[in-house]
Amino acid sequence: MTDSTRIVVYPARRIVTMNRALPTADAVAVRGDQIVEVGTLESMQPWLDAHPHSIDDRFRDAVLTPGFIDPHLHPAMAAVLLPMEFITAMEWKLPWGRVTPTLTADAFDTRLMELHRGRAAGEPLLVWGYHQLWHGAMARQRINAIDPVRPIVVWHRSFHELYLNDAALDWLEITEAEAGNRKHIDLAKGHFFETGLGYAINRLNPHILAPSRFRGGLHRLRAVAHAGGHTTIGDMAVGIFDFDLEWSSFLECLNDEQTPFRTELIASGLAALGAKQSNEAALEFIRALPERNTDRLRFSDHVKLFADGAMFSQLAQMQPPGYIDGHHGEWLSPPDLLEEQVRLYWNAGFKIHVHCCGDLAVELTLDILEKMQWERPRFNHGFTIEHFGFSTSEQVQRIARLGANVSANVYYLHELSAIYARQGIGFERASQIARLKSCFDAGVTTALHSDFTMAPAEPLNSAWVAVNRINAEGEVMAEPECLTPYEALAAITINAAWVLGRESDVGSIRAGKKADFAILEADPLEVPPEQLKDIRILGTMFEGTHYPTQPAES
Amino acid sequence: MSVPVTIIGGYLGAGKTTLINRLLAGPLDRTLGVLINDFGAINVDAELIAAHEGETLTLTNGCVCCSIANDFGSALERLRDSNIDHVLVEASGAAVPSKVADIAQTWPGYRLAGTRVLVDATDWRRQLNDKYIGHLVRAQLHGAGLRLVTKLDLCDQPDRELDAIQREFGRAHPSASGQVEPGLIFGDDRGGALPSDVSSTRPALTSTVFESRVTLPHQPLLDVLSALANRLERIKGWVETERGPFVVQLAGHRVTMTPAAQAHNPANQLVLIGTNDAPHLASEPLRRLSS
Ligand SMILES: [Zn+2]
Repeated sequence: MTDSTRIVVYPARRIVTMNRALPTADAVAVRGDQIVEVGTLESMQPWLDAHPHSIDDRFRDAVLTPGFIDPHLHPAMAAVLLPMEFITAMEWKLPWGRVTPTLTADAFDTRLMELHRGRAAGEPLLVWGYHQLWHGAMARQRINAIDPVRPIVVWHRSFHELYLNDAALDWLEITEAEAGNRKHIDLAKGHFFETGLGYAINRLNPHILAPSRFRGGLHRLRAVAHAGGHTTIGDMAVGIFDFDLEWSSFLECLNDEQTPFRTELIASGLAALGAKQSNEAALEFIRALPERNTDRLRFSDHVKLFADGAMFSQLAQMQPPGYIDGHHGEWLSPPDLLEEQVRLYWNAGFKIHVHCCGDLAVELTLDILEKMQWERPRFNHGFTIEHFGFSTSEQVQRIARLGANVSANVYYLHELSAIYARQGIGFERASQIARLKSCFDAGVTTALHSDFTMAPAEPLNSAWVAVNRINAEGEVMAEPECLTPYEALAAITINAAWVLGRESDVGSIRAGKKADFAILEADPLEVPPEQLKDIRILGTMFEGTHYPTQPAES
Repeated sequence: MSVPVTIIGGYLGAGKTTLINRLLAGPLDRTLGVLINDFGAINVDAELIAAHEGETLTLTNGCVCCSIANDFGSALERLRDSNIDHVLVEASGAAVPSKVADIAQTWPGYRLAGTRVLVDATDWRRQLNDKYIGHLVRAQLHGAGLRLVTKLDLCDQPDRELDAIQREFGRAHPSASGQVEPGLIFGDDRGGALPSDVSSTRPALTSTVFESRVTLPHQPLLDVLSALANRLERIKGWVETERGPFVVQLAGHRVTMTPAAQAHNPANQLVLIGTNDAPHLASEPLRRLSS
């Protein structure tokens, strides 16, 4: 930006800066992509006297906060899911339309029929969100009754099983001779589950990973991220499906003027190991990635590693007494491999993010971090515990003492705590999922993320869960772990910037930072806390350019 | 016909890679597809490799190895198009082999032959008590059709370790420095083909190595090899003729000579595999060619 660029002053009903020395302000002065002063029209007068400027009143009635930052989501998973049609028991607010809850078997069939009728002949129909508790038993005969000619795929809400009708079986060339009588495939019902799902997905891959469809999905992700008020997102595992497909699609879809956010790209060290066949070769590959950087797509000195299995499938690794039914979680990386990888990237100066869902995974990861600090102490190392499902309060203290950050998926608490209290690990530990207030009290830099598509990519919704700790059944879980609205807002702005290593240029509103704002109808620090998630997002400003939100059709 | 799949599991350091390398280097009565899901490199001895394409290695004995990097499915699909008699899966050190076995029972075109889990005789007691891997190693050993105990030679009381493992988990067999009879790997889990059964129902395979440093005459060599095709089970290795270096393979009683990228040292080395004294007899005409 040259100095001759005109300064634009945006007065607002209120500006929430997340900068402690000046918590709120009346106006922000922007030149090009940068904030030059925050304060009042009077206080910024010396800048205005010295430079050409104008006053723009468009945000006069709105509240500005720093643009929201989700430091951990998966654009590639979104690109696979978002082109599908949703028929779900829960409401989904999607920018291209609101998905209203479908709560009965009849309603499911009616909606499926509508989707079928609204579609060109022969075009396959992929539907996501089926759940037997609401939608009744599924089978290929039931889908055939909707239409036997169009290939129709009904995917379970969990992603872990799917059903195909006759036309879909033909389309995917799955025959009785081949797939009859196999474990985890019930061909009579067109049902593919567990390892059988892998077989069906292998057949679907040419379709769901087709570059044109994948790019369409990324365009939808772009709309979702914008509607959520994001100006920065982090892809916390580039290479999750296919590194080259992902990178080339990002270049095409997330790198142009219509993209109102930047994407921080964190390569998966596990995927790179699979592709390059040694950790050393993976490190070399990852180290060279920043050469590709553009204005909106940035690799840096971060890497993603994995400890244990998923929270949603109860494969998180738990310390004793473990799960009520006695089963154990699983490791995504053998512990010795994880240690080898952490050591390699630690010694190479990387900021390491480790996926940890269960408290045994947190314990392992902290043991490894402690070993690294003994072998080769580092400060401000940016080591981050990702997800942070189950933990103990002692672990929070260790995280603080070892200088690590936490990036938490607090939505687990909302969606899973009631059911896990009954059918997982019991009430005490289920209610303490996402132990976040303890993190703030211990001085741990703590951020919130969605892990989208695991939770809605709506930072204000994540903040709402963190402040209220209300589960899916309306019960407040472990009230002492509730965050204040200010802490929750920090967790989706400045703290998230720290987690991504962008704290010096985004995440708060102060002179010198990027002009990135979320434009809101109400002040998240003033509304009753239970209304946090309902604050309307009017749009965003990204690097000085205003991107209004399209009102959702209903 | 469905292709049998044997799962080779065990925690890191148990010796899976060594075992697979020994197996591939020794006499084999079948063509193997080896799928490697233990993170990282395919560690096949360079001497065995005939061609390297992407994540797939073709070996001089016709076997194929590929790294599956979590996409089991596409690897199994790819292998369906090649001439494979048996698939070995080197499971990840983090995997419970019985779960990997589900894939063989699900994927069309394949069936489960058995699961073999390797265990380090010098370290298993510590592993079982480790708070991070104890349950995993226990589940691996419980889920195995047969346990193969490695590094017994490094134990003070090898019999005691073997015994203790058998008592705690079931049938176990020593596997000294990765050396194991192929029948022990390829047989099924339910007592079917144990090593003794295998050797009694099938004539013993023997092997001889033919080595020579002189350039061999191309056409006469091809004639000799073709004549041997019906008398031997396998020939693998390389030769150098006046037309350059070649990789030689005999599989399914067919000889192929494929031009090689570079010459080897010694110029000619062929492993001849067959029953009884057939390999020894077969080496005679080759020796005559090179003298
Ligand atoms: Zn994730």
